[in-house]
Amino acid sequence: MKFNIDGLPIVFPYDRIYPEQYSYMCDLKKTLDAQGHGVLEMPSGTGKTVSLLSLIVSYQQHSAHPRKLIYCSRTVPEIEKALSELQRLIKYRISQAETPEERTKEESFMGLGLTSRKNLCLHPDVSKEKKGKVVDARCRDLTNSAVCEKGRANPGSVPLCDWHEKLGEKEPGNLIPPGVYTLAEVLQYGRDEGVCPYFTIRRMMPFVDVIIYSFHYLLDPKVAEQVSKEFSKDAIVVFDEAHNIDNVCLESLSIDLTRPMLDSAARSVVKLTEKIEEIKETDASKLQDEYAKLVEGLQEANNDVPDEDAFSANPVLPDDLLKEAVPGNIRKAEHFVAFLKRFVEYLKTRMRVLHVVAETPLSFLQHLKDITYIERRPLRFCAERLQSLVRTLELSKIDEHSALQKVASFATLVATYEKGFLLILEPFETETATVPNPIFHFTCLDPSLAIKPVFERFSSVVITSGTISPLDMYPKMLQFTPVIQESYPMTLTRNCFLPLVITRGSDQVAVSSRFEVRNDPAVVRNFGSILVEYSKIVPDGIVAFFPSYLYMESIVAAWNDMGILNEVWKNKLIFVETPDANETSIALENYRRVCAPALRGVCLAHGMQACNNGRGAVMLSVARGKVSEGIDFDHNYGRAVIMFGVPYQYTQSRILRARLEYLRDAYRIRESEFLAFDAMRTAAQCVGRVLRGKTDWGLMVFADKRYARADKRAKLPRWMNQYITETASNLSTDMAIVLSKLFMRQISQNPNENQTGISLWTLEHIERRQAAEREAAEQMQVDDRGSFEPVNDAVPTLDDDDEFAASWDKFRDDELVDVPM
Amino acid sequence: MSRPSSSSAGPSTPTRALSTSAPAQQSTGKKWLTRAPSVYNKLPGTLFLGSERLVWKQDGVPQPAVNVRLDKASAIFNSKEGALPVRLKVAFTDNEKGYQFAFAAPEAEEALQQRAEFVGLLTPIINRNKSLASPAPGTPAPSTPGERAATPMAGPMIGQENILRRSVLLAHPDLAQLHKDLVISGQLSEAEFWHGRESLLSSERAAAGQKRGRASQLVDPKPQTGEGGDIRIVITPQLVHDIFEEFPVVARAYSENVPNEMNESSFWARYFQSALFNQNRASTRSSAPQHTVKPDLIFDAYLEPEDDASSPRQILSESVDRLLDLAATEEDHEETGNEKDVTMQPGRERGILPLIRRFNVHSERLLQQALGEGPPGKRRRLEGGEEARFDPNDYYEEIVIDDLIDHHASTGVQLDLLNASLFSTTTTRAPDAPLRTAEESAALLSSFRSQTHGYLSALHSLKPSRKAAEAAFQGMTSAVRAQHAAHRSLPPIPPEFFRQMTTCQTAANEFLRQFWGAVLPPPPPPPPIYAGAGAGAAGDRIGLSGRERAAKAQKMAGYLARTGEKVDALVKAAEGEGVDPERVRAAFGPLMSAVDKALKLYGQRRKKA
Repeated sequence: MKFNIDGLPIVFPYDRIYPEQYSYMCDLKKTLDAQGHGVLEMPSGTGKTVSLLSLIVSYQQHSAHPRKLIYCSRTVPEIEKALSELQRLIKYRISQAETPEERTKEESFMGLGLTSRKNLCLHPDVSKEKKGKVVDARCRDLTNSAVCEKGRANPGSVPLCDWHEKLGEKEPGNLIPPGVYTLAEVLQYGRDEGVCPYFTIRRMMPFVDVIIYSFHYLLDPKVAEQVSKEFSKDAIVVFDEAHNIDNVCLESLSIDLTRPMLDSAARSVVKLTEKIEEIKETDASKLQDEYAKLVEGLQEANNDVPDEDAFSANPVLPDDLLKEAVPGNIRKAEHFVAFLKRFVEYLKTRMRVLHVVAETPLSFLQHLKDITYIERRPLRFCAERLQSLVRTLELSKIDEHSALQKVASFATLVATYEKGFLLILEPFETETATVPNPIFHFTCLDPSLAIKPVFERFSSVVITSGTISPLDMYPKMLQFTPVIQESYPMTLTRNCFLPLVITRGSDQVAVSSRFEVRNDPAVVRNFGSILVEYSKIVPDGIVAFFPSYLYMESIVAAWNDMGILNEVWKNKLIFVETPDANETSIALENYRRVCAPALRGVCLAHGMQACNNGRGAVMLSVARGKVSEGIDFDHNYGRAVIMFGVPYQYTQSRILRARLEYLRDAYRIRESEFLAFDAMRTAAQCVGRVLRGKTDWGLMVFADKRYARADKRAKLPRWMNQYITETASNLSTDMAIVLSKLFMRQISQNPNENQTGISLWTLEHIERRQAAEREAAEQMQVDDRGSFEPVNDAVPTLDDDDEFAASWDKFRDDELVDVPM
Repeated sequence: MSRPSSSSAGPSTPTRALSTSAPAQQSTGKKWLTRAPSVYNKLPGTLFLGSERLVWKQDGVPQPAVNVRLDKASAIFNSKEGALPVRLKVAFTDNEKGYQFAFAAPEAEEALQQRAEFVGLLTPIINRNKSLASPAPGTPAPSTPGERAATPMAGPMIGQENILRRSVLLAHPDLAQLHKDLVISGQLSEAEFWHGRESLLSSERAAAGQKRGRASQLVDPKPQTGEGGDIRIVITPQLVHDIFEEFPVVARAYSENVPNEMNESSFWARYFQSALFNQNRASTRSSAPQHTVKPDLIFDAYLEPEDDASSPRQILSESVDRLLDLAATEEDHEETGNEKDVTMQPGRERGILPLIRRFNVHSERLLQQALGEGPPGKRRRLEGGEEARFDPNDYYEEIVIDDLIDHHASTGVQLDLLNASLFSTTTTRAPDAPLRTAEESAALLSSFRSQTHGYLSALHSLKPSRKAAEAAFQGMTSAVRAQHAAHRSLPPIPPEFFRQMTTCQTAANEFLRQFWGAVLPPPPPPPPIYAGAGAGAAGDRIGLSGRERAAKAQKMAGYLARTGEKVDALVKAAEGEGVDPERVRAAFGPLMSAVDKALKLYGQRRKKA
């Protein structure tokens, strides 16, 4: 459908639209118009991505100077889905184009996604490598400019990558025909044309209208420096599924060092020394050139580095740093290596301590200076200096030096930031361990540090998700001022999901994942009977989430020994998330095969004998785990989600404690408030995965007595919380089962009742709504009272009756006379 | 699904339901294959075995207490040799407890002989059932259409239909009663009775078509501790089969060592004591000290290292659906950040990982046995080489929101108006002319305005008088009170007479249903959900031609015309029962008006014709 929002023509690739999608698009447009930032929460499964893309693409295509869209998502499947949505949208736009010019404009629209070399490589040997780091290093060995020069001058002397070479033959900026490509399609294109998909995308990035990649490519300064530095200031940045964005920010600036890593770094230092000696004898001018460049400053030294050569950039991005000259004592290669050696030795000695140490970067630097005379300034240049050295020495197999790179990044970070970081040395893995296995955590406590450059650089940053309540938490944590901050309720003609809070088992013993009681046999059994009972009554798929891997693994064992899982086996197949990602993917795939709707049709049609598998399956997984991120359990794939316990983080963790303390001191966020917020957003994220569209339905079961408390529930997204009734907020298992059965009986009735006008709008409804808004705005101007509030909440439904209702407003209260009874 | 009735069925309805099906059964001319005096539930009686049914009748009671179909029989169990009394237990897939009979012949010899006869006849039946229920070990079940021939679906359509009808009647006692009253008494034909009840049959067919497959529990024989503290595990052929299937390594050990190295019983004895068995157990109990195992040279050779590393021992070469590919996300960017805290590190509890892996593998195996390999076209896989091209449309089913697409609404059902010309407005007016002219509209508006003028002020001054309100309330209260009192004082109707009334009512209702079914236009064809469900989908649709419908309507009208007489007879009989005849007449009032309406319409139609 086509419609206008404030004069902007929108093409929306569906015949109908949900009211919340319309409101979302209006607010998004306001954010873009104001060139400001926004926080928007829209119910899961109501087509957030398509609304977002539809509005922004319309915005781009309408404007004379299109702003580029940088769309960030969390996982590769989500990136792939977003690309596919974009592709569908552009196809629709092409089909709806009114003039040939419009058509050409739509057809020349470009959208690409970016992921790692590991996911995009076509080289027969390199792509077989298991680790992304190794793929990166081997790819670099085959494609860096020095090697290419040699190889081209003297074919056959050094191995080159054919796919990369073929790319050079093509006209730059026209490596792939215009259009929108999913990652799979780019791969297919690469295969057909014999070109490298990764570098096709990298080199096309300046020319695309939309780029879709993961958060890290923008937030992690090491990657952002390489990948995202060329985007202009007016680009629109969207963080979708951004409920975890603060964690990504923290992660991208935190580093762990272990003893094996330091050993490996020490070995690298030795190798570097040898290499320098070797170069000195064969090609001393190289080192002198480097020295001369470094006097000029790092920026000169690093200018014009092609993508192929870059391997790991500076973890911080202050421009002034890059312009400065590199300190004299590390300018010479052998001096720098000696400097690194001393630093690594220092870290090794620190690791020998057998008690926990927590210190600020300043105190660390002071101690470092006292012991080794290493100053702060050269330390800051460590990462850049190492990069320059590696390039000069033309090192291959960079992955072998990854530990040294980490140490260098660590050095740079620790010398750059005074506040918002903490160093924690933990000599033992657990409280009870006796063999030391020390880890030196350099942990970032302030999520705003990593995202600050993004907010500073780009004019419009939109943070959006299905579950980012409470909304004001994010501006507070990330230190920005949004122009629009909105959460949309879900309009429904029938309640398509049923949230239930189970606080106790049928035996009235309270259930809770509180640390003290979680392993109590009564609690374990009650949790188990929830699963058993639901496996009896729910068709197709059930997903269960646990607060942690540790708890899931112990409870699965306990359930097995108690015979509870035997009861579940009678009704459903069981799949469990494992530590290995690929193994879990296969389990997921099988899970979905069991629950696939087509399959049951086959069973019925063929009268197949062994059809106990038409029953569906149970997937056991972990909140914050691999499965909880980016995998949807809509329709048959998840008719019920059970959240066992409240997914609090492990409060004994020193890193978490330090972070909580920091949040309290710096931003006045209380520890308990943050913990509860974090647990509830995780829970909401888990259960929110069951819905896609309003004819889909699902049960959401929160099993823990602590969910009964109103202050906990208040932290759930509004659209979810509004459907938790008072009765459903404190149930025993048997009562919950009764309610669930009733719900399923009702929801299984014909869903084709008329939603139109209430939870589903046609073009007419939009126009009527816009007319009403205009009228309201005019009235606002006429009316001096100013108390008239535009109808905003609860997305009112306007039909003919409502116009009548508006005229009632004119009657004053005092004109009404009491009717005596 | 047929419901096996156990002798404990107390209420009288199920037994009646059974008796309705009994004549049908005998009419098929079935003879018992064998019979023997036996005791069931401590009652003496006789056990009959037919080719399709197992029946037990208590002595002196005509209705059988046990009457079950044998196509669900799953296993038979004998009591121990030499033990008295001689028992036989038959288990069913839908009733795992099954039925236990003791042979009551005075001589143990004779009882044993009788049991042997039963066992001999039952074994092939059970074997057949098993081969139908689960595919042969090792070979995945291919879902070829040819296999359908082996299922009971392909049997004679009518027989199939009868079985379905019978099981529907068994499941619905009320319906069975009605069936008995109307069909068996000959008032309605079988086909007429089922007409309009196809949905019951089709859901029954769907249920019957869904055969129960293998149980999906893990194979985990639990040792039982005997009286003397000795530990024993009971081995059945089924268990052996399951173990071989679940653990191919045990099957290998068996084939390599039995009977050369050891005999069968010592094989199992040693297996259950070996470390191999402990490894195969679906439990983490094996770490407990009482389960220390003896080293066993033969079995220890088959031991495999525990699969408890964080990545599985077996390298999974399979590539996965791109939208489920978790590894792609892990490799999407370099790992950053601090190590996860202790609770969030997967696989820390090493002892549990093998168990979790076994769950996944077991589920996958069951799935594959049931379905065979997934259709390759459905899997969005990224394969090397040219053969598998990626189809972008595959993603659309994951992203498209169906609600937002305007599926065109159905055309609706056309009204069949009695005097269509009376209501027809289309002929008098040109189709595109406006409904009213502008002047007409203006006049209407002004008249409406004048009518409603002053409406609001009138509403303001509305003041109902207090007296009137009170009087109204009083009137209502007294009416309710009177009704309540009248209701309470009524004497109860004698149960027998009440039953007669109910029968009359339900029969007349059924006639009405049939009548309207014949008179009204036929319903649209049912949604095609179950259309392909069974081979007999066409069998239950009794397509009636116009003439047949007329004949049926006439027949039903005839029945309905006699309803009045029946009601009158009941009213008369009421006096004899001590019930107020007016009450009975009032009770039948709504029914009579419905009948009158039907007859009136029928009369009109006849006149028209």
